Amino acid sequence: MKRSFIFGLVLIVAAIAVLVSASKDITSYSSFSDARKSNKTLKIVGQLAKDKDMEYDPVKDPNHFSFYVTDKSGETVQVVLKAAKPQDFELSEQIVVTGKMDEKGLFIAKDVLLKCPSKYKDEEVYIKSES
Amino acid sequence: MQSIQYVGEHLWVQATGHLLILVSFFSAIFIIVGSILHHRQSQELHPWDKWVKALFYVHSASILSTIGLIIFIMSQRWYEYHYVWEHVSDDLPMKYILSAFWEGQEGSFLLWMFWNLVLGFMILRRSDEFVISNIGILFSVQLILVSMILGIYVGETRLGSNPFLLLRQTMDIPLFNNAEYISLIKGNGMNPLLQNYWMLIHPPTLFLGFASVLVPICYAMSGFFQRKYTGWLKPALPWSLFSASILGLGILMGGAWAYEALSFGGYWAWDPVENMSLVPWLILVAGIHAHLIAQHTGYSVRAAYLFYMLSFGMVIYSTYLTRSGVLGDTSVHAFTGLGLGWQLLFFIAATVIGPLILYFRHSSSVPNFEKEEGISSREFWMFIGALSLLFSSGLISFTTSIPVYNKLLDFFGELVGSNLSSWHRSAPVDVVAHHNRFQIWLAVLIGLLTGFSVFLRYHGQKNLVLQKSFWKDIAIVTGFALLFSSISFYALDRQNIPLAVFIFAAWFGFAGSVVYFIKLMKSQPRSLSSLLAHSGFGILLLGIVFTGVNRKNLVPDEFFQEDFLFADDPEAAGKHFLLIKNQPKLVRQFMVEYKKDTLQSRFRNYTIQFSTIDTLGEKIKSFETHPQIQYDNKLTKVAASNPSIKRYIHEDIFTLIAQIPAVHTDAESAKKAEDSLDYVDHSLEIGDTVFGNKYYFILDRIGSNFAPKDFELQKGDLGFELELRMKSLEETATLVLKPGIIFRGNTMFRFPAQLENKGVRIQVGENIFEAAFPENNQVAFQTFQIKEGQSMQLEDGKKVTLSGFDKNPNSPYLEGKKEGDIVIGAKLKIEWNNSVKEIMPIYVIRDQNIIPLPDRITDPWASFYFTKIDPETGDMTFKYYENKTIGSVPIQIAENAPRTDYLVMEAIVFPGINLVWLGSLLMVFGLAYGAWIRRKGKAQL
Repeated sequence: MKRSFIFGLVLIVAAIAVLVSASKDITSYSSFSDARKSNKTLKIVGQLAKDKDMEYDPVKDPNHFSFYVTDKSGETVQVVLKAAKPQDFELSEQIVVTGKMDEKGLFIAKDVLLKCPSKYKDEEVYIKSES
Repeated sequence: MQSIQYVGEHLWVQATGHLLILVSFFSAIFIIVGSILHHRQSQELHPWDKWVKALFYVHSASILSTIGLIIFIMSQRWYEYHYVWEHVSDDLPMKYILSAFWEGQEGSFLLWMFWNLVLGFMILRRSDEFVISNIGILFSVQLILVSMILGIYVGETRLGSNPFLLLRQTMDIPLFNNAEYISLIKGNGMNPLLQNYWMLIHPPTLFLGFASVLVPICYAMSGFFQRKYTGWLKPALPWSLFSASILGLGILMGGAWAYEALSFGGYWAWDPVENMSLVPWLILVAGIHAHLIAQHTGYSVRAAYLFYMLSFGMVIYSTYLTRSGVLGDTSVHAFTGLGLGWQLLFFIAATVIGPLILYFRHSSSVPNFEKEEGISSREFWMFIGALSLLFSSGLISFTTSIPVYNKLLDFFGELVGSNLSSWHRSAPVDVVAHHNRFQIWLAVLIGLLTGFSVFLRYHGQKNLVLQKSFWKDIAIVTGFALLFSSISFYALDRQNIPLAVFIFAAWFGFAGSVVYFIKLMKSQPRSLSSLLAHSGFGILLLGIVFTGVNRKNLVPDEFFQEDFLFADDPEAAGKHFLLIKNQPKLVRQFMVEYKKDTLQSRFRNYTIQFSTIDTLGEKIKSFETHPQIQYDNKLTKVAASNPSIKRYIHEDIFTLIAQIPAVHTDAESAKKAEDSLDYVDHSLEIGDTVFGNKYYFILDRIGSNFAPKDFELQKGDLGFELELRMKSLEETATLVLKPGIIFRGNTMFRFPAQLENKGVRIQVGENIFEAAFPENNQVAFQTFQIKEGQSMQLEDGKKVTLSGFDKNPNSPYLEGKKEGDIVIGAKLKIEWNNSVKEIMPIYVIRDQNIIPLPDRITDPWASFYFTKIDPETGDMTFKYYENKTIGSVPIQIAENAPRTDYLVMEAIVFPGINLVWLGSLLMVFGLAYGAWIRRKGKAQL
C-alpha cells in the first residue's frame, strides 16, 4: 500500500502544481487602460466603433488594417491589425482583440476574434419574388 | 390565425412524424423495462428476451422511418416544415441532402440514434450472456436521445426539439395571414461552408465514434448487474478498440477538414470543439490500457470501470458544450443552442451519476489485489501511461470549460442575487501555446513509456535472463532513437533542449514498438496491432514537432521590422502579401505569380503559380495552386475562402486568399467602391477627343459585338463595345480601352474598362441605348406584311423570313408577364449586308389591349415590332425603325480608380505534415486491427 500511496501523493501534488500553473494563463478580459499600463499581450473585448473610419489599402500594405474599438468601459481606441482585413468584419457584434498598446497609443493587434450573427440562422423568411 | 385554411401544406407528415417519435419513445421505455424483467424473473416462465428483441425491431423501424421521412420532405423541399426550411433551399444539390439532414441538431441526434441501433443490432447477433442487459443499457441512453426530439411540453418546460414543427408554429409573422404562404417562401439553405464532401463523411464517422463509446459501458454495467465483475472484460475489449479506432478516425477527419477546407491554416487549433472530441478518446485509450492490464493480471479492473464511465461522461459533456450554445464566445465553430441546455445537463447527470451509483454499490465486490504491482512489471508502467492520458485530458478539459465556469458563476450569482460577471474569466491569450506547454511533456512521458514498457512482462521480470534481455533491448532502442533523433534534430529550424527531449521521446516510442515487433513477429503476430498503434503515435509526435517548428509563413523579405512590438513573434509582423495580376513577386525561394481568375457558378477560381528560380532568375520548376473564393447561395457576397494545397511527400504548400478587391466581394462593397469614384460624364462621337486630368481620350469605334469573358450571353442580349485610345502629354505610349455594356430586357450589365496601373476606369453610359434606338412618336416607322413561311425583300434591301411562331416564347422582355396574357412570338430571320440575325418580336394581348414587345438588330440599329395578326388572311404586320449610325455616345471616365487586379495571399509551408496523417492513420488501423483479431470466436485474449 505504501508505494502506491506515495505515488498517488506525488501525482496529486504534481496535478495541483500544473493546474495552478495552467490557471495563470486564464485571465479576465482587459480594457485599453489596462493595456496602457502593461507591456504584456492582452485580450480586450469590445465592439467595433462603426461610426469611425476603417482603413485597409492592401496595395499600400496588406498587413495593415486599422479600425476603432470601444471596450467595455466605453473607451474608444484605434486598433491596428497586422494582417489582412477579416471577412465580414463590418457585421461583427462583438470583437476580441489580442495585442499590446504602442507608445503612440495605438493598440497593435496580432489577432482578432469576431462574433458575428450567424448568417444562416436568421429568423427571417425570404420571399421568393425578392431575388 | 386558426381559421385560415392554408394551401399546399402536407400535414400528414407531421402527424406521421409525431406518431413515429412517440412509438420510438415508448418502445425504448418498454425495452428497458423488458430487459430489467428479463434479469429479475425466471427466464423459462417469462421469455422477456423475445419481447426485447421484438421491440428492438419496432423501435428501429420507427427511427429509420423518422429519418427517411425527414430526408424525404427535405428532398421534396416542403418548406412548410421548419427543419426543411432551415436547412434546404431550391438550389441545394441533391447530393447534399444528407449533409443538410445532419447539419441540424435534431438530425444529428437522429444520426446518433441510428448508430446506436446499428450497434444494438450487432450486440443482438452475439450470443454471450450480456446481450439483453447490454440492450437495456444502450436503450436507456437511446431513450434520452429520443427525448431530445420529442418536442412536447411538460408543464412550462419543453422537452426536446421536434423536427416536424411547421414553420408557422415556430414564428409569428404577418406572412402567415396569407393562406398561400407556401408558394411565397423559399428555403434558408445550407451554410455554403458545409457544402463539401467532408460534411458527408465526417459527422457520420464522429457520431459512430461517440455512439460506440457506449458499448464498453454496456458491458461494464452488465458486469455489475450480473455480478460478473471480470467476466465482461473479454467480450468488451474488441468493442473498445473498435470505438477508439472510429472515434480516432472521426477526430482525424475533423483535423483534415480544418486543414484542407477551412481558413485557419492548420490541422489542430485547440478549439473547444476539437478538444472535446479528443478528451473522450484519450480517456477511452486510457481505459483500453487499464482493460488490458485487468485482463492479463487482474489488476485495474476498477480503473477500467472508471475510465470507461468517464469517457462516456465526457462524450455527453462534449455534446452539452457544443449544443447548448455555451461555447459561443470561444469557438470558431458556429453552434447555436436550441434551448435544450437543461435537458443536456440532465443527460450528463444521468450518464455520470447513474453508473457511479452502481459503481459504489458494487465496488467492494470488484476484485482488487492487496499486493502491489512490481515496479518491473509491464502493468505498473502501463497504468502510469493510462494515468498520464487521464491527466492530459483533465488539463484540456480544465481550460476548455472556462465558459462553463462563467455560466456557473452567473447561476450562483442569480441564486444569491448579485451580478458576478466581473469574475468572468476568458480563455488564455494564446490558447495554442497554453495547451502545448503542458501537452508536450505528457506526450514525451507517453512516448518514453511506450518505448520501454513493451519489453517488460506482465507480473514483472521473474528471472535474471529476462532482466538481461530487457536491458539489451532497451540499449538497442536507445541507440536507434539517439541516432535518428539527432539527425532529425538538426533538420529543425529552431533548436532547444525541450525540443531535443521531445524528438527523442518520439523516436524512442517508435523504435521501441518496432524492435519489439521484430522480436515477437513469429510467435505473436497479434502484436502487429500494438506495433501499428504505438509506432503511429511516435510518427505522429514527429509530425507534430516538424509541422509546429518548421512551419513557415511565406512572406516577402521586406516585411521584417526590427523594432517591432512583437519581436518575439515574427509571424505577428504580417503573414499576408499582395499579388498583382501577372506581376511575379519574389517570396522567399519562390517567384509567385497571380496568373488568372475565372468565375464558375458560385466560385471564383484563381490560378497562382509558384516557381523556384536559379541565381540568374531563370525558372527551374514550377507548380500551380488553385485557391477559391466561394460566394453565398444568392451570389451576393463572399461566403468563404477555400485554400488550395500543393502536396509533396516531405511538405505541403498551403495557399489561401485573404482579401480580394471590393468589386469582387459583394454587391454592396462593389457599389460603395464604384460610388467613391469621381466619374466625369462625356458625350463623344467617333473621332472626338476629350481631356481628363492627366490623360486625353479619343473614341475610335462603336461596336455591337460584345462578348465579355466570364459572361454567358443569351439570345436577345444587346451589346455595345466602345474602343478608346488613351494618351498623355508626357508619355508617347498609346493605350487602348474597351468598355462595354449589355442590355437584357430591362436589365443592364456594365463592363467598365480599367487601366490598373494608371487608375483610369471608363464605363459606357446607359443612355447609349436611346442613342442607338432613338424611337419616339416623331420617327417614321416602316411597316411590312408577311405570311408564315414566306420571305420578302424590304425596300432598303433587307431580306426577312417569317419561319414560324412560338406560343410560349422565352424572352427577357416578358418579365412583366401576367396571368391571362396571350403571348405569341414571331420567328423572324433578318438578312442584311453580310449579316444574319434571328429575332423574335412578341405580340401580347392583355385585357383586349395589344402590347408589342420589340426585338432588335444592331449595326444598323433597328427595332422590330409585331403589331397585327390578321387571322383571316394570315397576314402578319410588323413595323420597324432603322438608325444607320449612332451619333454621340455617353461615356463616363474616372481617373482615381483603385486597382481591381490584386489579391492578398497567405502561403504557409508545412513540412512533415504527412507524418501527422501517417501516424494518426497507423493508430487508427492499429486499433481497428486489434478489434478485428479479437472479434467473436477469434484468438484467445
